[in-house]
Amino acid sequence: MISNYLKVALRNLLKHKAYTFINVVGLSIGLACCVLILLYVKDELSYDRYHTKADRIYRVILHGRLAGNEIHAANTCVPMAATLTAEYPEVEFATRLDNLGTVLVSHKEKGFNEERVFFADSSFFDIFTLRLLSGNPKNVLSAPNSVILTEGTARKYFGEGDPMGRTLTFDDNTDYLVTGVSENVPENSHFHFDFLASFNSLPRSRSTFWVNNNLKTYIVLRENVLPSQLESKFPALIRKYVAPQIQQGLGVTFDEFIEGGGEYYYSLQPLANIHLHSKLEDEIEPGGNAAYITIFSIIAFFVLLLACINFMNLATARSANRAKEVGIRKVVGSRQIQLIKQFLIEAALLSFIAMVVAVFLVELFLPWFNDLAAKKIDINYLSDRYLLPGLFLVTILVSVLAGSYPAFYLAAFKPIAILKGASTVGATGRSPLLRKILVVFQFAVSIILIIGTLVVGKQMQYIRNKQLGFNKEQVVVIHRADATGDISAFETEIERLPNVISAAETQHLPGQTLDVNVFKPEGAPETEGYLVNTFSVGYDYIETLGIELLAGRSFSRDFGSDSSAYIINEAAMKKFGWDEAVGKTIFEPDKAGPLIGQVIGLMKDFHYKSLHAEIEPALLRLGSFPTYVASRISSNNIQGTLSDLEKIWQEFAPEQPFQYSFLDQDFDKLYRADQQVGKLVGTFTVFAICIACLGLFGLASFSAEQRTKEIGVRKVLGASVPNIILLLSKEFTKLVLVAFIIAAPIALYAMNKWLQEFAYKTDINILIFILAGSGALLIAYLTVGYQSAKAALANPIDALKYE
Amino acid sequence: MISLKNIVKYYKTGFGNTFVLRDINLEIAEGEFVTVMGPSGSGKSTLLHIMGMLDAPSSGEYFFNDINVNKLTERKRTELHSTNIGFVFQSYHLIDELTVYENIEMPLLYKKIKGSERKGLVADSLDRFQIVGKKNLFPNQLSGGQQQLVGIARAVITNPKIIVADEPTGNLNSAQGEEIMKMFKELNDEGTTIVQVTHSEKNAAYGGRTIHLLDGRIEKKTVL
Repeated sequence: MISNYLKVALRNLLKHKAYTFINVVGLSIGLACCVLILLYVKDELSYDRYHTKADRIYRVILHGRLAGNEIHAANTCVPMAATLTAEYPEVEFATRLDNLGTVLVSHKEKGFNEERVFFADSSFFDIFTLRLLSGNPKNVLSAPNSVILTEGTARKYFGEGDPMGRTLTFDDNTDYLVTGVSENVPENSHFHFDFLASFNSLPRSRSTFWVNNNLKTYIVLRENVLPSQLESKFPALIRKYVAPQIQQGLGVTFDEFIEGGGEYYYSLQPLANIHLHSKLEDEIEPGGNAAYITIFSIIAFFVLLLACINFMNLATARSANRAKEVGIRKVVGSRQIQLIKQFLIEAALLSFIAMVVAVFLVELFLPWFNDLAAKKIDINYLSDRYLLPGLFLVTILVSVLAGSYPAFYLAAFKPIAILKGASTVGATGRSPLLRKILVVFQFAVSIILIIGTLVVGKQMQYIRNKQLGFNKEQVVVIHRADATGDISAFETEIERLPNVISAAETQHLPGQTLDVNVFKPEGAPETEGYLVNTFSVGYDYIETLGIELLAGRSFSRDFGSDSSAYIINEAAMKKFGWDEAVGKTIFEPDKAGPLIGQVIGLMKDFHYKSLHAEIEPALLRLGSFPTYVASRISSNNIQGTLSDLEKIWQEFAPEQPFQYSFLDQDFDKLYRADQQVGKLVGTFTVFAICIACLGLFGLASFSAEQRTKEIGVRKVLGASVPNIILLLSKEFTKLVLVAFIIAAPIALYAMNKWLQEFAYKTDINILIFILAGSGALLIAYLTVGYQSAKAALANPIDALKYE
Repeated sequence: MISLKNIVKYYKTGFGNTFVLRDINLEIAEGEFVTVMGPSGSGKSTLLHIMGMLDAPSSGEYFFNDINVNKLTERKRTELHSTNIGFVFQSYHLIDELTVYENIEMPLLYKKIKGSERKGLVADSLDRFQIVGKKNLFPNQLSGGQQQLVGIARAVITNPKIIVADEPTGNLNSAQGEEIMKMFKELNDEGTTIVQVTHSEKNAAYGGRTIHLLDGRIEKKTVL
C-alpha cells in the first residue's frame, strides 16, 4: 500500500514540476535556515559541557554593595581556593585561574606579545577535562615557573621540535620551563589559553588578602553535594576571613558596614551557565546571550513555518488536480483515514527530498555562516549522535506541520461531486479564508523581520555617527610602550614627528576596562564614598583624544602639584553634589591614610564605554605606570607615519615586536556582538522573504490559471490589460496591508525592547514602517505581477475555448 | 437485494428545496440486469449514487440485503460498498498517475489482500479482459474503449455482487460500446447484478428490466 502511495506521490511530483520546484526550494531554504540556526544554538548551549565533571564544577563569584554601588564580579581572591579545599569537605578540588593581560613571551630571538597567558594551580587538570599530549597532569603545574603550551603555541615557538624541557622567557625577566603540551582549548569553552603557567610562580600567589579580588576560583563539589550546602557556609567564611580585613580597610566593623547598607557575599555559579548567563564584571571572554538564543530559535521556527505554509497553500490551492483521485479512491473502497495517510506520506516524501537538498545547502553555506556568526561550527554526521536523529525529527515535524491541513482538506472531498463531472471542487478562483490567513501570516512575519532589520541597521548607524565627546578617529595606540624602557623619552620622540599632532602616554583608554576606586568628595558626609572610574593618564591626554574641557585646565608639566590633581567629568560632579568642580578637594581612602587631591578641570561627559551603558562618573589622574602611547596623527600619509613610528620603536626596543592599533577600531569591537546579530537577522529576513514570495508566486499563478475564464469574459466585455492586472493584484494588496497592520505593533514592541539594551539609542520613526510596508507591497507586486500580466495579455478566445 | 422505500432527494437552494428524486420505491433482486433511463435532469445519476452508497437520500430508507444502509457508520458503509458494489463511470475515472496494472490492483489494496493473492487476481483479470499487453501503460496511452475495459476490470476485481454503471458507453463509439455491453451481459450471466444508466435503447435491450425516470419520479417500468 505504501509503495502505491509513494508511486503516486513521485509521479505527481514529476508531473507538476513547477509546483514541486516551488515546494522543494521553499522547504529546503526553510530547513537549511532552521538547521543552521539549530547548529548555532546547539553550539552555544554546548559551552563547557564537555568536561567530565561539568555538572559538579562551579565558579565562586562575588556580590557586594559598596558605597552605594552594586558589584557582581567573576573575580574572587588569592587565598580562596586553598581555604575551600582545606576547610570545606564539600569541595573536592579547587583552582585559581588568572589571565595576565599582554605578556612578551620570547624564546631565543623569537618574541611575541601574547594575550592569552593564563596561570592556574596544579588541580586545574582535576577539574577541567583537557587532554595532555605530553606531560603528567598530576604534576605539570606543580613546580613554580612551569608552563604548558597548547599544540598551536608549541608549533609557533618550536616548530616541529619537541618543546618539553625547553625554556620560555616572560617579559624579559622570568624563565618558564615547558612541562607539558595540551590539545588546543575547545572552541566551546568560556576561556582559551595559549599558555597555562603554574600559579605559584606569581609573587602574589602567597597573598592572604581577601578583599583584593583579582582572579577566578573554580571548584569541584563532591558527588551528591548541593551547591546550596556550600553556599550556606559562606557567611561564616566571610566573618572569619573577610570581615577583619574590611574593618582594617574601611575603618568600620563589618556589622557597621552591613548596617550602613553594605553587602559582601559569595555564591556559586554553575560552569555550564557561564557562557550564556554570566553578566558579571571581569568575565574572561565576552559571553553569549541567552536572549539571542531564544530570538534565533524563534526565527528558525518561523522561517520553517513560512515554508510549511507554502506547502499548505499550494497543496490546497491545486486540490482540484487531486480531487478526482480522491473521489475514485473513495469509490473503490478507500476510507478517509487511508487517504489522510496517503497525503501525509506524500508530504513526508517531499520533506525528505527538501531535507536532502537542505543538507547540501547547509554544507555549502556553513563557511559563510561561520564567518557571519563568528563561529567555528563543523558538522560531522556520523560522530554526532544527535544530528541525524535531529534532522529526521525535524523532517517528520515538517511533514506533519505542512501535510496535516492539506491531508484533511483533500481527504474530506465527497466522491459524489467528482462523479457528477464537476472539476472545480474546492478550487474556485478566490481563496478560502484559511489560505488568506496563512498568506497574511507569512507577510506579517516577513514585515516584522524587515522592520527588525531596519531598526538594527539604524541603531548601528546611530552608534557609528554618535558624537562620543572625544575624537576616536586617527588615534594610533602603541601597545606595551613601557617595553621601550623609557616611555617618556619614547613619547617625546614621537611628538617630534611632523605628522603627529599630539601624543600622550597612558594606562587607560576609552573602551577598555578601567580601575574603579572609592573617592570621598569634599562636603560629603564622613561615611559616604563613591565608586568612580579612574583613568590613569599622562600629560596631553585630553588634547590627544580631543576631550572637551568645560572649566579649569588640563594636566601640565608646569605644575608639580598635578601629580595629585584630578580632572572629573560632569557625571562625577553631579554624583558628588557639586555645582562647580574646579578647586574642590577629593579624598581617596588608602591604607596609609586618605590621599588628598585638587580638582583642576571639568570634562564634558564623553562615552568611554559602549553606548549600551550610561555615562558614569569618571576622573583622570596622572598615573605612574603607563603602558600605551596614544598619538593623534594627521590624515596625510598615514602609512608613512606608521612606519616612522615603527622606526622610533626600533631605536628604543629593537628586540621587541612593534604592536599598534587604531582607537576607532578598538572602540568598534565593543559592538561586534550587536553587528553580528544585525547581520544574522538581516540574512534570515532575506530568506524569509524569499520563501514568502515563492509561495505567493505559486498562489498567484494558480489563481490566474483558475480565473482564466473570468479573465477571458472580462476581456471580451472590454476590460483593458491594466484593469485585469489590477483585478488580480487587488486581492494580494489587501492581504499585505492586513499583514502590515498586524506586524507593525508587534515589531514596534519587540524592537523597543531590543533598543532598551542601549542607554543611547535611535528612535523608531514612521519612516521605517513606511519603508517596510511599501517594501513588502512592492515585493508582493513584483511576485504577482508576472503571473497577472501573463494572464491579462493572453488571448481571451483561447481562455474561453479552453473552458 | 436492493430495496428503496420512499426515497426523496432534494438540495437546498436560495428559494427553498429543489427536488431531484421524489418518492422512489424500487426493488432489485440478485442477478437482475436493470436499466435506468430518462432525460437529462430526471435524477438517474442521483438514484444510481444513492444505490451505490456514494450519496445519502434526504428521506426514505435504503435496505441492502436487509441492512438499513442509512443507519450505518461511515466505516461500516465503506466496508459494505467496497465488498459488494463495483462502479463503472462514463468517463472511466482511472487514476492518471497509475498504470493499468496498478489501477486494477487498487481496490485489492484497500481490502488488504496479501501480495501473492493480489498478483494472481490482477493477472486473472488482465487475462480475462485481454489487456495483459497493456498492463504497464498509463490511462492516457489507451483508447476510450480500452480505458473503459480497465474501468470494468477494476470494478469487478473484488468480485462484487452488484455493478453500478453510469452511462458506461457514453464516451465510446458504437463498436467499443457494443464490446462493453457484451462484457456486462457476460458478467450478468455469471450471476452479477447490474444496474446501468443509459440513453441508448440498444444498450437497454441488454437488460431485463427498464425503469424510466421523469422529473425525479418513476414514470414507468418495462420488462422485456
